[in-house]
Amino acid sequence: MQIREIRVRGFGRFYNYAIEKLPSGLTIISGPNEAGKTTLMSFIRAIFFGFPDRRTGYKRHEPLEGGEHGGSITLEGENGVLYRIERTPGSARGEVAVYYDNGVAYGEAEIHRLLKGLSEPLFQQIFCFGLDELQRLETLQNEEISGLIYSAGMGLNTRSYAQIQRDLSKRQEDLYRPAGKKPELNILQQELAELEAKISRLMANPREYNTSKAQVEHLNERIGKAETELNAVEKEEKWLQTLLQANEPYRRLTQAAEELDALPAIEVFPEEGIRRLDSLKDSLDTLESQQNRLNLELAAIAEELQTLVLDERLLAASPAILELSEELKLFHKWQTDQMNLKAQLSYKLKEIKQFLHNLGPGWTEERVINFSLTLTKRKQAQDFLNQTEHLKEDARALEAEEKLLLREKEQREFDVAELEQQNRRGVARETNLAGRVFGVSAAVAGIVMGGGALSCFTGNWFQGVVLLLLGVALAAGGYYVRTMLLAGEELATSREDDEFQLREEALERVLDRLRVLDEQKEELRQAMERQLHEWRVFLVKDGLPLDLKPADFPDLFHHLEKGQEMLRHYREILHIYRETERQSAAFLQKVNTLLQTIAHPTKATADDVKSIVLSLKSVLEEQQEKRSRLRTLQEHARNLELNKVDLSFQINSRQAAMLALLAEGGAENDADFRKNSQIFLQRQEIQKAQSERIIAFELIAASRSEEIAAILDKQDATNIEEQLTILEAKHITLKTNLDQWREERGRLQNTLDSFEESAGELSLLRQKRESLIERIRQKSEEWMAVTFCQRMLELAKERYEKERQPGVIKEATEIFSNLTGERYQRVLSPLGENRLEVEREDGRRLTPDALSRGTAEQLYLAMRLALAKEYSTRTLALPLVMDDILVNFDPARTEATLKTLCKLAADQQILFFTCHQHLVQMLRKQNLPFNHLELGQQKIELIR
Amino acid sequence: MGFKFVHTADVHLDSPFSGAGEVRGEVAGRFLHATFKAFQNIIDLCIVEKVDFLLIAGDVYNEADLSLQAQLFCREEFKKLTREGIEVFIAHGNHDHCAGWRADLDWPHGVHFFPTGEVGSFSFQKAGREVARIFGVSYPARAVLTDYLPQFVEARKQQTSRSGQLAERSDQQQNAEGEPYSIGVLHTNAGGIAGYDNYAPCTLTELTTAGFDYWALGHVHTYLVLHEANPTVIYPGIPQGRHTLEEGPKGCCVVEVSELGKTATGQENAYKSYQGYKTTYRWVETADLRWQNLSVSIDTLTRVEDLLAKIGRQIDDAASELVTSPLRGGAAERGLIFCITLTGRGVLAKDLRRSGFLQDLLEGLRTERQGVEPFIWVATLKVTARPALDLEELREEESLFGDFLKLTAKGQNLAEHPDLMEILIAETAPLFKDRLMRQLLTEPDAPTLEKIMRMSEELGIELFSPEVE
Repeated sequence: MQIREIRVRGFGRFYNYAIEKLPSGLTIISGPNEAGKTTLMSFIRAIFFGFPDRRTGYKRHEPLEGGEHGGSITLEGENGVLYRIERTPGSARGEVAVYYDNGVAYGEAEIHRLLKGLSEPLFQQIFCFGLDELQRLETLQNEEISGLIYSAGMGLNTRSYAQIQRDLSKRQEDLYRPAGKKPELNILQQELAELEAKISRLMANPREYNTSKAQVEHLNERIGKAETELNAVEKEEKWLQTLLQANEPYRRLTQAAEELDALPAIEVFPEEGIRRLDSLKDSLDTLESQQNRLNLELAAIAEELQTLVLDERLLAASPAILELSEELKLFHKWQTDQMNLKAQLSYKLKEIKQFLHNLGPGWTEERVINFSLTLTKRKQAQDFLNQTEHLKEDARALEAEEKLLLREKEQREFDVAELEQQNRRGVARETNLAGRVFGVSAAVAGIVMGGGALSCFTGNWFQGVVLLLLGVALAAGGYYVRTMLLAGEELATSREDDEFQLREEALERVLDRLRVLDEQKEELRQAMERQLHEWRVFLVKDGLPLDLKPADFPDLFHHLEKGQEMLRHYREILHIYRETERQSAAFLQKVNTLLQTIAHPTKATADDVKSIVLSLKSVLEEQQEKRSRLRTLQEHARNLELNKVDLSFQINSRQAAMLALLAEGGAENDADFRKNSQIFLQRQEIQKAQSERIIAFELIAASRSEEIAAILDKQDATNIEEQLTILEAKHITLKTNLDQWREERGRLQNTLDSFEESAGELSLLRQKRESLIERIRQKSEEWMAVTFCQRMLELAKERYEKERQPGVIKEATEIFSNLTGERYQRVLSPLGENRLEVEREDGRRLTPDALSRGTAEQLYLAMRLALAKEYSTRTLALPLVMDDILVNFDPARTEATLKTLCKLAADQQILFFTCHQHLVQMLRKQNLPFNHLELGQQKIELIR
Repeated sequence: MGFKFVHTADVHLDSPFSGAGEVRGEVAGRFLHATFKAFQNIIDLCIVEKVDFLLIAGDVYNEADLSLQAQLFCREEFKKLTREGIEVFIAHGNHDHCAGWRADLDWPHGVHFFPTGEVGSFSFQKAGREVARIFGVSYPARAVLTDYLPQFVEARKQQTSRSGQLAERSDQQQNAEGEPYSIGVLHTNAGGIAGYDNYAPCTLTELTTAGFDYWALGHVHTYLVLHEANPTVIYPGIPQGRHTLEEGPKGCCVVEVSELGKTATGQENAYKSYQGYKTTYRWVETADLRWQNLSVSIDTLTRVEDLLAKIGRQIDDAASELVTSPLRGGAAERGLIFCITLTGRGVLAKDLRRSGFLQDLLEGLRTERQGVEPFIWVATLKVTARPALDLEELREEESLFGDFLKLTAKGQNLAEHPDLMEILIAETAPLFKDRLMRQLLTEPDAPTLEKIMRMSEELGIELFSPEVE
């Protein structure tokens, strides 16, 4: 592949700059400093790989002189086909297009394909370099150099061996480092160790479990024994306590038995004997004293009865006396009422007289009372009044209308008169005007017609005819106007006639209405007369004065109502007064009748009747009281007699019962009876207490009463208490031990429980451990995979060095030997070591850093040229572009280098940029095949 | 007279799940409880089926865990059985061997442990008649290398001679009327099954010729019927899987033994025993959580959504299979734990390699199925899927990458490259410097190294590839 044309559109200081027809072989492109050599080299690189990104540090060479950034390079392929790579601005790297004969392809991928995947760094290191790259190579790590070198034959990709190794190392270190802390595996190990520690701590629990369990068993045994012993002690204690409890009742029991034996044996005695005896005696005493009191009472009653005498007549009249005394109050009221009513009557009478007087002559009490005041009559009077009012109203209305009509009549008469006068003036004026109009127009028409006839006459017939016609027209117009005026006048006259007629008619209508009104007035007058007549008939019917007006009637009516009311009231009072008078007399009569019946000496009057009745009543009450007392005493005396009989019977029966009781109690008298009773009660009490004591004792002793009695007969309480004290001490000791052991057992049981609980946690941790181990294994495998990958790569590289590298190295040896004038015989790469060594003519091996700067640069140049050749044969022959790389070479080696370059240029195009003109001379002197292009001249000097 | 029993083994109570992912809270609780729940399912099964006794052929719990909880739980569950009149016969295995720690517990009456290190027997009586004699032995230590079969044979002979009924059984066709059904309970690796420690070794022939009617074996975690009948030899498998290798349905066996009439002959019934017993069994799933390995290929998939949908479908299929599984015992709500491997080659491989992507996917799958029935947990999500690169072509390339791939290919075929294996083992040395790591990790064997080498190769491909844009 050869560069044939460089076309710069705009790049740094270049603007529309072109180098055309670049030949094959070596071309020296020379120029002074700042001529743009380095810029051109950058341009080539930029066209192939894009404008440098700002971050890379390479200059982008934006156009300084104008023009679009970029340009093109035309290449000639192996088969002589030409194609042009063009890069224009676009993205940061620019947009690239490859133009072929038959089309165009866009994009970096096309370049990638064209250059067979050559990477920019590799291109820059091997095919397009300046002194910088050459020297930078020196400063790079040995590994990097070899990686770079070998990357030329890595296959598949563009990544360098060193990159891959670095990548692998990083992965390896991230995974695991012996004694490391951060790598994943180390962390996992740490976690696992912690987990294991935790697990083993928990694992101790199950081991301890059995020990604790055994301890629990042992304690259980001891507790069991102690519990049995304690039971026995408690039982014994209980027995002794029973004995102590039984002691007291037992002692009392034996003592009482002795007491009973000492008393006389009275086994039977009447029940409640003493109480019964006492009660018999008491009741006898009571009965006897009652007998005495009865006798005394009977004597007192007999004495009182002697004193009581009754008035039988008076007593028989008692209902009449009581009735009169009741009526006495009424009698008193009547007397009072009589006086009041009398006064009222005289007042009312005066009033009535006044009223009749006011009403006028002819009116008596009777006529007032009998005057009919019916509602119908009142209504009739009201109707008369209403009708009279209506008639009056109608009369007023007719009067008002008459007034209006008379006024209108005057107006209409005036209207008619006025119109008559107007009519006569209007006709004269209008006739005059019509005549004048016609006259003028006829005159003008005549003049025109005259003119017309004259014209005809003079031969100007046309004018004449015209004038004639005009005259006729004027005449006709005048006539027309006149006719019109006259017609208007006639129209006006007929209009005025109509108006007059209308007014006449209106006047006539008014007069008509006046006539009707008169008729109505007449009708009204007749109605009024009829009305008055009827009213008088109405008055006569009731005998009322004929001058009474309907409007006065309600007053009269009202007055009569009041009068009737007043009269009725008076007559009522009068009636009451007379009734009262009659009743008073009747009462007095009744009193006197009674007095005669009871043979009372006095006769009652209205004045003393009250005191007589009252005294009668008080005497009667006295007599009634005496009678009632007499009856009570007689009844009481009868009852007392009966009681007396009853009492003596009771006394006898009680005396018999007392004798029987004494006999029953084995005694003849009271004292013996009481003594026997005393003994009997004493025995009973002792026997009762004894049975209670037996129950109490049995309760305590239960089924063992005989055993207990036997023991208690032998031992006393103190003895038993002593035994109990000893047992209690033993009890306490046992109990303390038991509590202690139980507590210990509880503690151990808790531990056991907690072990059982923590078992779950252990499972969880084990599961965690399992997954941790799983991850460790996985990560270990990953680590191994990385490690193996690394190792395989190294082995591959070794093999590559051994089997494939010699071509490159051999080539480098030859070139280096040539460059150094055979001072250095060999370039070599020790197996397994990623570095270069050189062998001097004296056989000494040197590492590159032991070489002088120039020599080292020559070595690297040799390596590059060898690699370029290797790459060319293996992959793609690319043009070599170099920029003043010989500055550190001495003349001899410069010359040797140039020779070598010339030789290599036979297979590969070489563009050599330089500012050293002497190189051209040197080439010329040596007569070497090369081309020369002076920058700025644009002309290539073909040396050969 | 017929009888019925449940045969289980390798309960491994309270042993944690491994490879279940980082679990917390409820999920963690559920996992912890799973072995207990499975055991409870067995107990419930015994009660529901009204069996006469329960046989446990070793490894009820892991003695190394010193799990008090396991032993206490065990006792409580046994109480339920003995209350129902169901007896329990237990042989200890290598995990609960008798030299190990054991909580000092009072076991309910009716729970019998076989003697340590020597074969002993218990008589099982029904209606006053001995219907079965159960022989068994408990491990005296973890690693038992003794073959106990001769002892079993001897014990049985003694027993029968003592009962004065049959001293010798030379003729197996002989119908020994009245002789009880004999059961051997043994924790053993019969016939040297791969993947299990070769403890109490014996051969199938030894078992089938020992004169027993039923061999209740334990130790192998997979349900295996070694011999169908005369005698029936069964490994019921672990009742609850605990990691991805113990995937699929797990359970125990319900065995029914019925006595045939005198007229019954061997020809008429394939299961007829020497003594006129007929043995029928059925296996019942007891696992609370079933582990299920899923392999999902990314071959034709181009979008992450498609992958998610595909995984979802496969999960749902497995879940509906679980729900409708005829093997389910009891009505317990079971769950599923998935270990998913993404396989194949396709464009999605690159996405899967993206940092954090897989974790997000996993979280997504878990969250999506949170709180739904049945319980589903995605434990792991692994990738063997590769980009659609033609590796073989790349391997032939004469480049560093080609050389690398050639080496990794060798690394996946270590049998032919022992030198490379040595190099790899040497590379792992730093890991084994640490004491804890030495305890946790075993020195990798060839298959492990090859597996890791495959990871290395994938890593290499990732690193050599142009970076993801």
